[in-house]
Amino acid sequence: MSTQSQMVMVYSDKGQSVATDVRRFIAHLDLLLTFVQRDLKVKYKQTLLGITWALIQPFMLVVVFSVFFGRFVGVPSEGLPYAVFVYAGLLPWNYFSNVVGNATNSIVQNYAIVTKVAFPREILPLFQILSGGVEFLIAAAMFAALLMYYHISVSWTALFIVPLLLVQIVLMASIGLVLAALNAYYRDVRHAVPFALQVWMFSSPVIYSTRSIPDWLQPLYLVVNPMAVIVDGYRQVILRKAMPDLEMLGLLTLMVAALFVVCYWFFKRVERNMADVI
Amino acid sequence: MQIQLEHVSKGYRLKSKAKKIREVPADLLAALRLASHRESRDFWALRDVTFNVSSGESLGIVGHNGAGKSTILRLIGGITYPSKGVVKVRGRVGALIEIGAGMHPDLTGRENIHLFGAMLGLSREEVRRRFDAIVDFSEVEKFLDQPLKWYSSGMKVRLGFAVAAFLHPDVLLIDEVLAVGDIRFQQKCVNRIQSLHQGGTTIVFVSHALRHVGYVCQRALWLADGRIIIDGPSAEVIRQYSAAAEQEFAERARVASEKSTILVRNVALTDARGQRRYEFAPGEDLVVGISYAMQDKAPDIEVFLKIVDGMNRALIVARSGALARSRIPAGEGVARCVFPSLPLGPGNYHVWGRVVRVRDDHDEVPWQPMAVFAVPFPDTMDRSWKDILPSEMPLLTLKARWSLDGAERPSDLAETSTLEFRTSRVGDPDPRA
Repeated sequence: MSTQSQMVMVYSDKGQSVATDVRRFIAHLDLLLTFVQRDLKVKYKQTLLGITWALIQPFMLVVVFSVFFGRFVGVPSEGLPYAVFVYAGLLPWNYFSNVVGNATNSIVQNYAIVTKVAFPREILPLFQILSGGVEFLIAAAMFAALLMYYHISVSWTALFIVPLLLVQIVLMASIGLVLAALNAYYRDVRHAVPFALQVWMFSSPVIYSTRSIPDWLQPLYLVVNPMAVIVDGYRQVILRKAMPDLEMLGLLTLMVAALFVVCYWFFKRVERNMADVI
Repeated sequence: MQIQLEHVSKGYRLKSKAKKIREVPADLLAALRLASHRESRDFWALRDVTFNVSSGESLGIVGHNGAGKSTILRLIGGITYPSKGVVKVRGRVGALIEIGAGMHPDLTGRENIHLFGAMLGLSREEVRRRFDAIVDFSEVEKFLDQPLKWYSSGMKVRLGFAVAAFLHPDVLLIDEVLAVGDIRFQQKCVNRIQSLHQGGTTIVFVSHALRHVGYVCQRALWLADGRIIIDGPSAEVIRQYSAAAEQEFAERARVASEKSTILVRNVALTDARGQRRYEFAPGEDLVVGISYAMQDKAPDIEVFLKIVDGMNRALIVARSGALARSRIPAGEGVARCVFPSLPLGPGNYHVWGRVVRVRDDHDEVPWQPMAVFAVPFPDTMDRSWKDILPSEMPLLTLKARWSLDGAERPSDLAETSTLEFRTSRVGDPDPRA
């Protein structure tokens, strides 16, 4: 018998402590990895192209955007080839949009196991970060290839992607948890999210540059929209070869950390009745 | 104390009315338990339930559908939380509440074993260690690398149960999953559950198959309408529950037979010695006794009986011909039918019958369910039989005689039944008697 033998679970109309929740989650890490594996395997089974679909998507998106926004409309791209410019924005944005979109429906979609097996439900929205992460890495590899194609060199500031990525992950986790929980109760959420993400994308400097935003709006813009900071941050460290605004980054980190705590608490509270409601 | 339920109640709000937007804030606050809902639960699945289960005990839960049995399992398993009261569980819990939860049709059997194992809380290493035993138990070796969607439903059940069967949890919860699968597999599952129990696992077993409950569990609860009616030794609880069920049965039979002028009072299955029995070994005599009452005194009746198997196939149909009773004028009596050396193989059987007056139009009198009995699967079976038998148990058994050409002496004539049986439980008096 494992050490788990001595663990006593208490289920009452009062909640459990956060420490218990975190411990349970860690005990189920294996399950999380299993879900990621299952997801990746199933997504590309019985397809002809398999994992190359993960490459085709960003590629096609860049081509389409370059033609329509770069050529036809002529969106200013800070002196860089539009394809590179837009890709630097799409890279973090697609990761964000995929994870949040999948996370929203993750609980409802797995209704069968949520109502039959006990496990920490937050695994369902959270594992999307890992499976989406695989696709992110593939897209990032393509981005590197694109940079090479255009003979654009990269400086050490590109290393700042790591903290940006980490902040984004915590942000995605928070939003994913809340949406997944809400969607279990109100299915409207799932229908509203794709639309909201579209609006959000246009509200972030993915397709256009922050320089296109009127000066008086800029500070507000970056404070209210964390993804704007991240997307612009990618451009800052890779394309403009400059350090990110550390003050802004620090503030964002704190904000996102606090958000995560609140969202996790929300999820765990609501989780109790999920099996009864979905 | 492995499991403890104290004053547990569980209520649901029926989602009949569509939710309105203005109710959302209140709903959310209640869900977050920052504000409490007024006690507007529509339906209470459990009401003030209290019981404990000690380590290594096996508890059965019986009751009608909707009595709250599955809800108790879900509470112990941590799938849902009580509305009132506390549930405490120690150790690792394995729940067989649905076979194959989480299994994906596009993945192969092998991949699904790992997936389902992970769902039940096993690490990859543990699944790997038990892999061969699981495949052996489920008998799906040939299809292991085929996608699950190509498996028959029987194979899926076997695979799911096999993974859960090798869990070695501290607590095992089983909910009706043995209702699927053929009888041989059911028995295999029951045996496996028994051996887990002997290994120290605490078992909570919900089932309608009272025979299984009696076999596996020392103690049982009878649950009705969310409340515990009795909590005691399983034989006693099963007896009382069956007696109540039989009452209902008899009520229904009484109502059904009110259409005819003959009232069936009671039906009893006994052995040749007159002892009421619930299980019969193959080759034993089965005696069906039907007590009836008639309004008028015309005594000529005819009784029809049919023995039907689990798939509603009529195996034996018997008719009595006109039975005349001229001596006693009162319109009551007992019609008895002896089936000598019943040649039935292991399974669950139903006895249907009807009692008609010889002069009546037979078509107007419907068949009524009268009794159930079982021929148990052998506890132990000769190894040599195991290789020969197909996956279904035979319907019939007979005493067959064997000889070789040129056999002279009687001792050369071997007489064996077509299925050797050694069953310990048969011959036990009917616990309901």
